[in-house]
Amino acid sequence: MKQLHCAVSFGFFAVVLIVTMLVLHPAYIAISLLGAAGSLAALTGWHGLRQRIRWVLPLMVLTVFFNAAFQHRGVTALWYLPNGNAVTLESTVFGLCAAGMLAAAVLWCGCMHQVLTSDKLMALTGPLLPSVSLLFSMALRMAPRILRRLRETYDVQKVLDTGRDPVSVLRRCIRALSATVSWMLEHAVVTADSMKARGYGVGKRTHFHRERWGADETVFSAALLLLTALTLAGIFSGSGTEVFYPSLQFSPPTAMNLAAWCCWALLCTLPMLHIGKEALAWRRSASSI
Amino acid sequence: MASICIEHLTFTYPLSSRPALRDLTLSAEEGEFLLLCGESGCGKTTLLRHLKTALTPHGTRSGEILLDGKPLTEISAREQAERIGFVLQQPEDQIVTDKVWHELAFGPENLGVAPEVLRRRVGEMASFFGIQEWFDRDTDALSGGQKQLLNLASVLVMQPEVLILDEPTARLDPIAAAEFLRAVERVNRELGVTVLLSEQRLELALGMADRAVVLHQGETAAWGTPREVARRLYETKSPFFAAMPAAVRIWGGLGAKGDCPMDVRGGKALLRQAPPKEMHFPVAEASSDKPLLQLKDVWFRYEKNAPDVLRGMELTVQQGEILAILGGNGCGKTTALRLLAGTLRPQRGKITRQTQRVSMLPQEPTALFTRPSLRQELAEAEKPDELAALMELEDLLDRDPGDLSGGEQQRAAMAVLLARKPEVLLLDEPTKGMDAMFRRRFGKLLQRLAQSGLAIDLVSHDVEFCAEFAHRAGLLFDGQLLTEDDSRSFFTGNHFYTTATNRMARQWLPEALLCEEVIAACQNGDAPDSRQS
Amino acid sequence: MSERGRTRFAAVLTLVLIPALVLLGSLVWANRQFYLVSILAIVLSLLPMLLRFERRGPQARELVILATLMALAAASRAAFSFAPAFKPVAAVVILSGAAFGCEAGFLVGAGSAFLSNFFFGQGPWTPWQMLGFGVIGFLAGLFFAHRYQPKRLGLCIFGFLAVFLLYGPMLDVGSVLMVSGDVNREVILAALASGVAFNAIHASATVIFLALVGEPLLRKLDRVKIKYGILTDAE
Repeated sequence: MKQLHCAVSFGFFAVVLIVTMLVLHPAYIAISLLGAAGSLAALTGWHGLRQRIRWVLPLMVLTVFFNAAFQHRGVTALWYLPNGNAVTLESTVFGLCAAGMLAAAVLWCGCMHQVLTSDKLMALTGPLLPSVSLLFSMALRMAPRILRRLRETYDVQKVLDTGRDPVSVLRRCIRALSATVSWMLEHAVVTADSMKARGYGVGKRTHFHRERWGADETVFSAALLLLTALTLAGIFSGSGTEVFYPSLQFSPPTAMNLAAWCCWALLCTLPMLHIGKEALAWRRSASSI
Repeated sequence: MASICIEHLTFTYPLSSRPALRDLTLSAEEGEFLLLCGESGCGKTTLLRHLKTALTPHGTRSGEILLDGKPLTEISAREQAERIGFVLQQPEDQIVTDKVWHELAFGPENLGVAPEVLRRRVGEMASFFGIQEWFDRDTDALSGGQKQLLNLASVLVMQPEVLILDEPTARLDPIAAAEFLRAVERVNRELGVTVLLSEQRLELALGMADRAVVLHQGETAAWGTPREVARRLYETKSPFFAAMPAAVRIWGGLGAKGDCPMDVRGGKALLRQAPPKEMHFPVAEASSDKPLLQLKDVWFRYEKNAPDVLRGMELTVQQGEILAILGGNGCGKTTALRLLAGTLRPQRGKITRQTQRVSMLPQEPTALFTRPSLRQELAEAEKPDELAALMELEDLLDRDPGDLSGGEQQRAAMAVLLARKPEVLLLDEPTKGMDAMFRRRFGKLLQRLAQSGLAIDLVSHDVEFCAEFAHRAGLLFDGQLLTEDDSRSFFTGNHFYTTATNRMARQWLPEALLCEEVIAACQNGDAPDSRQS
Repeated sequence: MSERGRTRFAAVLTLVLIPALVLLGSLVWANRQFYLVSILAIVLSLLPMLLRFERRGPQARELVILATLMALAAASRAAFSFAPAFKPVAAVVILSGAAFGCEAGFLVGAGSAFLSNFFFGQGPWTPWQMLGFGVIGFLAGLFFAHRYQPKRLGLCIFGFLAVFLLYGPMLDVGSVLMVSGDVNREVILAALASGVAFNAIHASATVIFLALVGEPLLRKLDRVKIKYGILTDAE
């Protein structure tokens, strides 16, 4: 998955994220959540998945609580709050779906972070927004450097001013910030010179990237296109219709709808399939040595 | 390939009464390796920046610069970008993008080179410099030496005919500097690129160059082959002779007879002709030996699962003493200093402090400056004017510390630290980027401070400086301080980690560390008391 | 893509594609129409700014300064990761706008939100943060860029209001749109109320940073501006 051409992986994540965020049907949400969790585990191992889940869970709880507590539409009252408003089944179910959607979106973003690394993203935006892409590449180069410098300066100030009270800490922070700014503005001039010395601004820039389009990309994008078309057709023909208020109405698991859900499920497992295929290919080539 | 001609170039910065360059005429032939030297502020950078219009400073100028006989002003920015490559001093600041491969592609991208062509050029250049192993990395993760090598490669990928390098090794440690200069030499010899290099450290560069030019206050003080330059400097008794390689200085000290040697090998041959008489040299004594800071069995690592940086380090910082810690890159020198300063805490072991008044000079002195003028920075001092006078800063008091030159910043930073009346002064690579003359003055200043009772602990790559000025020295390796001793025994006991002079004269004078000592022994005079002055 | 191709692409996107999607979305995704509209609105507002920047063909020094400020904002967020909500990012963005004008303020704001999420994790909240900080930077440029030396008090008041009444509520409403199916007054008020404490800390942090580093930092940025004559496009 990480080796795929950036356009293909971007296309995949765009489709998956849009569908996830727009279709709140429980089946779609559950499939997306499972697919995202599986893909993240395949990309980062269980450890990475656990870490993400640890801070997604509170968000989910908050979402359910928020909907249950502040959304009083729906006809099935579960119980009444002291202020007379009802906690309804509908708003609770909506909260659960929204929480699942949020978790799925966060996990997909986690996968995207692994696959679409900064340089792939730049390769993608380069042709459309060359200067902005360059700007980002430069900022990405500077951010860790400035962070290091902020910490160093803070340390130096700590030697000069050893107070431990909050005021001293804040004073040191401020001094570190201020000293870092002067430092980086001085140094920025050298960077600009280095750009000019290498001909920045003499004419139209070309755009170099290392992405390759091979057989894998063709197969993956064909599968992506086909499954996207089928999923969208399914959604527009009513397999993902969800009505929460006033009472719950979801598309039932008819044969037609099940088929549409399968397409969505297949779409969500594409990363896992691709990673599995690569692992298999590796094992085969390793055993043939 | 191309030649560069500078004809009667005079240049004055705005608001300056004295020209920075005065009627300079010099040239670099096709494929030549031309070395430019001179103390800081002699006009090297100003001159080199004139060789590329995009970098030329503002000011009034007369005279002409010709590339292959054509005035530079008539050559388009695009052609200049292609034909003239420029590597600047700061390895960090020149890097524009976040990935090594993108950085290599940056120049050709600017010129609009087609991606297919670009791919090949980048591949070629990465292979030539052995960059392919870190081709995928973030530029931020590279070492200083790798960064500068990347800067060189990303200039050469544009296939320039002339390569200009402005003190490219000033910020590198000696090993990385040597590696970098060898790469430049390869570019010159194997690709035939004309090279103009300005340098502070001449030990290696002088031997590589076809011709050298010494600038002094914007004028040529000497030029010709390196040997001719050495002789000329000797004959005119130029103060810049002190910046020449050790072999040259010994040759000069012995009366400049015969051909001038350029390296240790040549220096040895010179000494063999008239071997120095055996002689003993004094061991430098500290003015006091009261321990102020002590590390006892200190272990340290930055992260839970990271390897230990320090593994049972023992160290004592004593009053009135200059202690030098040497060691390769990433051996934990700076970490040891930060532990002494108290910004890090050891995981194991103990640090005893007899004083809380500790000051640290970071590698980049600008980290100390937080106020808009030097006067305000020194406001806490008891006698700011006296301090400013001590550091030769009187005229700079109302300037913004960020606007000062490198050497001035170093002095200003020292003043800021001394204003707090420290008892221990910790210095991280203090001589980086200093020219030979200022380096010497700085060493003398440290000695004066130590005599007044300050404990000074410096970590450095600069063997020559430590050998000359430290009382005690130690080698940090594998997380421990190995062979800590008085500096004469320490350096003379080492085989490689010692001064060039010692390597030249060891056979006859195992205890000699400095040129003056060898010269004195050859002339059979009294041992010079260079350490006490 | 050529200059004209790019412009045409943007025109098609903004004039045809986005309204069409919104229309379609409100028909099919009745539950999510607010969300859809808001996301598209964000894209709609980001894109013209970026394209304008592209068309202008920024100078090397301009790029470096903007990248530096973006990186500073992102790094300062990371440096203060120990204190939730107490972040100098907004202050840096405001100062960038005040020193270099609307466009720079917007770019630094939107850019630093995007950039810092490279280190903290992108999520559905990224577009809102981008827009939020972008707008703050833009407004700072609008109010302060034409003045030679903005007053400290003015900066602080602006900083407090911008964070407390603009950025914070914008993000709170954004998250409501994301997780709540329909939007009524009560829901919005609840979201705003739940964010008050957090936004108040964030706003006060901004004020503290602006009060303490605002003037010296602006002086430094102004000096750079004069010294190198960059980014002085008339606002």
